[in-house]
Amino acid sequence: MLFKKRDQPEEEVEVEEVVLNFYPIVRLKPHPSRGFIKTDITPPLEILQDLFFGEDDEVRKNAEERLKEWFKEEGYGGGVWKIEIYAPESKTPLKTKTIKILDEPVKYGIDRWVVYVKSPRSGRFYRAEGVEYDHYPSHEELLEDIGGGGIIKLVGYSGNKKMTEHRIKIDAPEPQWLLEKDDSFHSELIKTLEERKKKALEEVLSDVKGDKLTKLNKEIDEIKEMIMEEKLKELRELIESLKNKKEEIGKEESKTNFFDLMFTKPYEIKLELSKELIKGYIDRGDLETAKQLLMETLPDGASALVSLITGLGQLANVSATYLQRKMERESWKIEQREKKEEKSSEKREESERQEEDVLFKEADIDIKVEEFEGGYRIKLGGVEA
Amino acid sequence: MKKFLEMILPKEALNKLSEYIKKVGFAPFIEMAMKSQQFRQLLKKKFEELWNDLREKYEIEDYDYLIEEVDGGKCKLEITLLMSDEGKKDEFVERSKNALQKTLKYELSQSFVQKYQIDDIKCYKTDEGVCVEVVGNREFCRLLESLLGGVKYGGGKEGEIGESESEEVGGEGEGGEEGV
Repeated sequence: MLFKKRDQPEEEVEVEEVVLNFYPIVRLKPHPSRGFIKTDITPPLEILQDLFFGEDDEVRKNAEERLKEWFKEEGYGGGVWKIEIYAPESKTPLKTKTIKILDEPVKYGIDRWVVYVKSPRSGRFYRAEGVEYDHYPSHEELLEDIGGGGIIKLVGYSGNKKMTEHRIKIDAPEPQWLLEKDDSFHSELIKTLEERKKKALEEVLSDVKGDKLTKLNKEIDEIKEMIMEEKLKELRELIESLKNKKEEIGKEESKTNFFDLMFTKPYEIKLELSKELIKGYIDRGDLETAKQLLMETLPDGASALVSLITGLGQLANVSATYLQRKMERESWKIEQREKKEEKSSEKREESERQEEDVLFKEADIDIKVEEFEGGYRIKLGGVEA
Repeated sequence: MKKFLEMILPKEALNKLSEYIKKVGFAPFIEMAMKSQQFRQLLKKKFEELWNDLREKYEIEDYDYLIEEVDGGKCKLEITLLMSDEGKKDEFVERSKNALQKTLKYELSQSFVQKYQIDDIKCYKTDEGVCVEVVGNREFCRLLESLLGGVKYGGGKEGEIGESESEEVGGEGEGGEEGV
């Protein structure tokens, strides 16, 4: 009997036989973006026995802690470990258990540690040239070899294959070389800009040499001529408009004179005369005649006022009718315009839709997405420059 | 994609752009557009806006990045968005996956992918936040470097750096992995 069967009583289980008849495979996930890799690690079987076949939760939990310690003590470090146990000659795991050791960097299989330091200014990690270790370095080592501290990324390699990375923070000022590198990046940006500006200026200057210069001069002369013509035209127009203005003013003046002559002046004379006559009658004490004359003068103004009001009323009526008709015509025009705009907007939308279709046309391509725990990967095959 | 273009371009410009792209074709357009200082400046400005939106939505504290050479003369850009909320990390990973899957299917994106020879994109959660890895050609890394560096330097400065910092640490093979 190799393993405990469900229908058998507890006391019949032979523990020693169980321990001897399984073999473990330990896998490691060294980085969140990597899959599990098979290792050659064999943890102590008694820990595995407790881990998988412990009597209760406490025993199993305790075994997990012991196993974590064992990984650290053996120098394998942290990471996500998957322990699988197999029955002899079986290829399907009997049981699996995943253990996460997150307080320790992955160390298994790593033969080279490369160091990067983060620039606080640009956020970019720069490699610390010539600083490499064959073991996981201590803070003291890093501080001395890098020449400063800050946020440091340690990238672990197995041969040329990147296995893992680990971030640490060392409370010390950033190394001088990092600031210089950052400055050089910044000055590189400025330098490129200046070069572009210079190039653009040179292009413009080269355009105004030789034949191009003659052509340019000719074009300038033409423009000058055009400006002169335009100015002369403007001047002529100004003179013309002044002439017209003068004529209009003349007509206006004559109109005013005619009106005054025909209506205002005689009325003024009449009023003045009446005033003088009334005054004379009053002076002579003939109040009755003065009163009569005054009454005769006043109706003259009142009847003019009435005529004016009547005239205005008629004008208002005519205006109202005119405005009403105009309004009707305008609203008809607006209605027509709206209809026309609606049609053209539909056309425009249609053409925009067509343009969008061209822009956002889906290509007939196959995108492969591989999903893994906590992330995904998209591989775009067959891409040619 | 449409939303992205609408976000980075005014409507009239988008219409003109459509006409222009129809006339010259997608790939030549990308080639020409990236040479335009104005276009790059616009792109950078929009990149900053996008970054601010993302920062607010996913409570991203900061970001950092690393550029390294990989096999085949290509470069890998690794950006880590520093965030602590596990829920937000999951949300970002999920949403970015869906968005990328959709976006990459457009012909317009394909031109971009081809021009910059992008062949591998990874996005995953880490202890620090979410890491996005993109493998493309050196030109691609230079473009992103100028955008990323520019944002950090406070914007306003535009340009591409003449030569990317070479940090060869060896290629990253995939052999030996046994899948997830």
